[in-house]
Amino acid sequence: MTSLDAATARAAEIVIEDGLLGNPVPLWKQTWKRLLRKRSAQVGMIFIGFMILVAIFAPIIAPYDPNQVLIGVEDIKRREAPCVHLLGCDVAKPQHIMGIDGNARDVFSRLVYGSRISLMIGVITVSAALVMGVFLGAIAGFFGGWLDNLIMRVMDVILGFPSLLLAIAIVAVLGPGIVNALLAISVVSVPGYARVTRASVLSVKSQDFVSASRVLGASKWRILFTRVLPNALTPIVVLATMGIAGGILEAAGLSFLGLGAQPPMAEWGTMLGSEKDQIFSSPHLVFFPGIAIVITVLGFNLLGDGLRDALDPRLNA
Amino acid sequence: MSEPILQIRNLSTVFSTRAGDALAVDAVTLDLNAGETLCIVGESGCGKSITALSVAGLVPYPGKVVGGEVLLTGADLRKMTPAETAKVRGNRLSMIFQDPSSALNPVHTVGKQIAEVYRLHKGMDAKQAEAAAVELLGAVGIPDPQRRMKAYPHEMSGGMAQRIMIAMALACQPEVLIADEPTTALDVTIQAQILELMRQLQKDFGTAIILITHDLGVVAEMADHVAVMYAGQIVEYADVRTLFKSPKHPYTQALLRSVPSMGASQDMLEVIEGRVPQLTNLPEGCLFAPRCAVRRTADESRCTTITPDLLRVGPGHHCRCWLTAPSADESSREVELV
Amino acid sequence: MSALLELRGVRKEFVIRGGALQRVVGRVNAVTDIDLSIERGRTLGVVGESGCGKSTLARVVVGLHPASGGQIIFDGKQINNATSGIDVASTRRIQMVFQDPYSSLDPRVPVGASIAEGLVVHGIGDAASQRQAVGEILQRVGLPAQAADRYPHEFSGGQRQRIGIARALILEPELLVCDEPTSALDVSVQAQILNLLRLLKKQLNLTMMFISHNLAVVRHIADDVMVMYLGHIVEVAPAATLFANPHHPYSQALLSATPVADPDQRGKRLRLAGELPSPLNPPSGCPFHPRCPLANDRCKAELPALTAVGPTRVACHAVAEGRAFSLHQAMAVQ
Repeated sequence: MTSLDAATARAAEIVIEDGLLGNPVPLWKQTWKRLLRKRSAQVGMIFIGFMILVAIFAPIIAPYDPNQVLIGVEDIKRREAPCVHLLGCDVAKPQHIMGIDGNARDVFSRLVYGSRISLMIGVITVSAALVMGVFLGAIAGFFGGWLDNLIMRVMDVILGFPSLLLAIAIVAVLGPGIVNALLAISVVSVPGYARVTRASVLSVKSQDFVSASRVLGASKWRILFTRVLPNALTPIVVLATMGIAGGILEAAGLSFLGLGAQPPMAEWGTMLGSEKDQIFSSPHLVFFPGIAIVITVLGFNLLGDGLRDALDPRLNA
Repeated sequence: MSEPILQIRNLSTVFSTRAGDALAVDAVTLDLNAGETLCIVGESGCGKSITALSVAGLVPYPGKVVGGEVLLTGADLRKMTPAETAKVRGNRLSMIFQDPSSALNPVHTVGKQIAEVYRLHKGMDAKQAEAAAVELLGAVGIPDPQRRMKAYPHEMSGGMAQRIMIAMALACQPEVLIADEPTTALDVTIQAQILELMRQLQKDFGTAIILITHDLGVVAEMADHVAVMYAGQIVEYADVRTLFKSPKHPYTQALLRSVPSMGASQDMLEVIEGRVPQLTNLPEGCLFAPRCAVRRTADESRCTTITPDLLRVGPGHHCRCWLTAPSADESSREVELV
Repeated sequence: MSALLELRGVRKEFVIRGGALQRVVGRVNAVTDIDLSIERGRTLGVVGESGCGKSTLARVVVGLHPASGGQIIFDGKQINNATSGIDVASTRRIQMVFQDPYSSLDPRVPVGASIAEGLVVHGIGDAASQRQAVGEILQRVGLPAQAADRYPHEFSGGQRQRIGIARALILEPELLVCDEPTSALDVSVQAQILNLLRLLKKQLNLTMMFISHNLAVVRHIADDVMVMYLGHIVEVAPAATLFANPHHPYSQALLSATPVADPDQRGKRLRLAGELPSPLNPPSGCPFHPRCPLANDRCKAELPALTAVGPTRVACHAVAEGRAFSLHQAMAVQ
């Protein structure tokens, strides 16, 4: 290309505007700013941030070992109600702010350590499902034809079962345990990601900027990975954020039924499940794990909601 | 001349956005005579559509009409109760939009939708309404109206759907029809059919039309009077011949020259440099001054400091420009549009 | 003068599939038997109404749709194959400007990266020289070089269209296919883009294929004009000839239906009755006969071929038989 001559500039009516000469703001920063403006994202991030801090500093926060049986160590009874010194509990008694569970362990410590397991469950199930689902959905949507048909019909079959039932069936075959539960939850959530990815890829694929890349001679794989997928990710990111919540919930559900995390692992669903019969006599044993699940799940859902709005650069007003 | 059927007086509409308040319609004053067509023309973002919606009382959130009067044969639409407005709208004042297919309800047949207008506004029973609807479909040039009554909107082409919108708008023979870019989505041969239909119906029913368009060709084809809008203001108003033959405002002049001609190929088209200013960040003085080539040579200091008024520059011809303004002593300060 | 681009019998058929088994339920001939040639340095304008196949034709030429039949000959060599559009090697030499300035730029990358993609794909230069080239091409289309770091949503429609032109030109193509590049823009911005295209064409010695529904725009920019109707070419002529003396009844009606910005010309319109037939179920014989005031039995049965009338080539039995006097007169007779 020859260098620019002044006549070209004038005749082409150079439109230089002040706005285009300042420092550009990177896209992620703009997105982050928009995200911070969303009330739902703010609340979600506070909840999640709180849970992450609890998980990281669990050994410091928790007063007891989560699996330590306290009978004989302290003067307590099984399923004893919470004792908080500040709220007037006898100072002579040891403090257990969420009470004692059926095996004479400190509920608060178990809950704190449980946050590590729950967050891990959420992230691992979603990551596994995401990788499989996005890969299958992107291939189905982008290449189309018989491949699309084959992949999506298999996904339809999986979707045809109620997801928890299918997860139970998988665990029943593989045997109960936290690893198998994770696997089952991942498998049943793959079709969701595949469908959303496929729909999103289909709509992005027909846009002119994808055609422009093709005209420039870009290969199919390059177009898929540099043009189509990044633009198709918005609904997937939102779905995945909410999927973490779903994963935690389903894992808790499986554990509640005795098919997931096995005692004595400090998992919220297991804690809930093993004490479900005591809901009237010792409500604190069901109440606190339930609240922990609700806060985490709500946090991820709210964040997903905020992300949906913040991730669209075209909404930038 | 008789009393105008529709008088718009100092109509102003504000949109509240995060970036600030945007005056989308800035004290627009216009008269519409019975049986006449008034075209409002301008580029996107000039406020022509919002003006139309403001007149009809249909400004979408976060917009709000903040001042002025809309007098339909003397009665102010803005002072009416919602029930009264609803009665006027559709009965005496109708509106058609750019995208006819999205303005029709996809789950009902077109016949049912037209008949509903008759039942709502004229109190006809189902049988009468259906007969009237069939007759109307024939009047707007739809072949085989009996059969078309049972068609759903998706079975119609864009031109057909716009005919149906016109049919619905004219069902009660309103005194005023506001048409917002009615042919923009259509092909030229279909556009010619629709424009001819509007002209024909205007002749038959005596409807006064406000036609919003960006297409100067359509303006030349349809208008009796023309208002040119820029950044929410009317910058020039004249009868159609005056506007095309001797435009006064530099914006109108540049706009007319920037249209390629079918007659002969020019080497370079005249362009208007820069872009329409953002309504939240308007320039000082004349809103067109930053892009005005005439100002640059004239070196008129008022252009960038004081906003000019819409002043009379000839019989029925008004222009908002310091360079065409009559000198101070003969300035009549007249804004009435006759 | 040699033809840079030549199309011989090019057609594009879309197969419509439906149902669970993806059976073929219909076929649409979007463009049929297109023969054309564009000489180096000239601009061919393609006009017609929506559904006439003009955009499909553009996409076939740049290889976005593989042609269902016929030959695309570029600079003397056939470049199309049945499966994947046109040879990758030719993509450097044929580029396209798209209609919608909003959807034609990837919203997630700075415009500089969009523009440089052609260089990256074809492995031309290193990162620094690519950046240099992007800056130069941006200035050439009338934008500051710093604009490369900005995202598409920061630009106006006209500016985005300049960026689209820059992206198309960075590979220094010989043929530029423009698909309605100004139809989404305001008139004053349209004038800017048209001027820019004319200027670039002169400076870079480009050959252009310019698709538009706007006759005045085509008149302004094209040397030759081709009128399409329902996938067929109905008339090709030098621009001045076609606008002064259109032969085909459809060309005449199209020209006449276009409103002119002059109130003295008001009302002198020929109006075509009816609408475009469904391409799924095209009429027999001449595709235009259901709307044509000159149609007779031969028109209903037999597809007219393009025949030369002076510098014009026109596909019309009425013209060939000398039945066609001006359509104005035909309408007056009716």
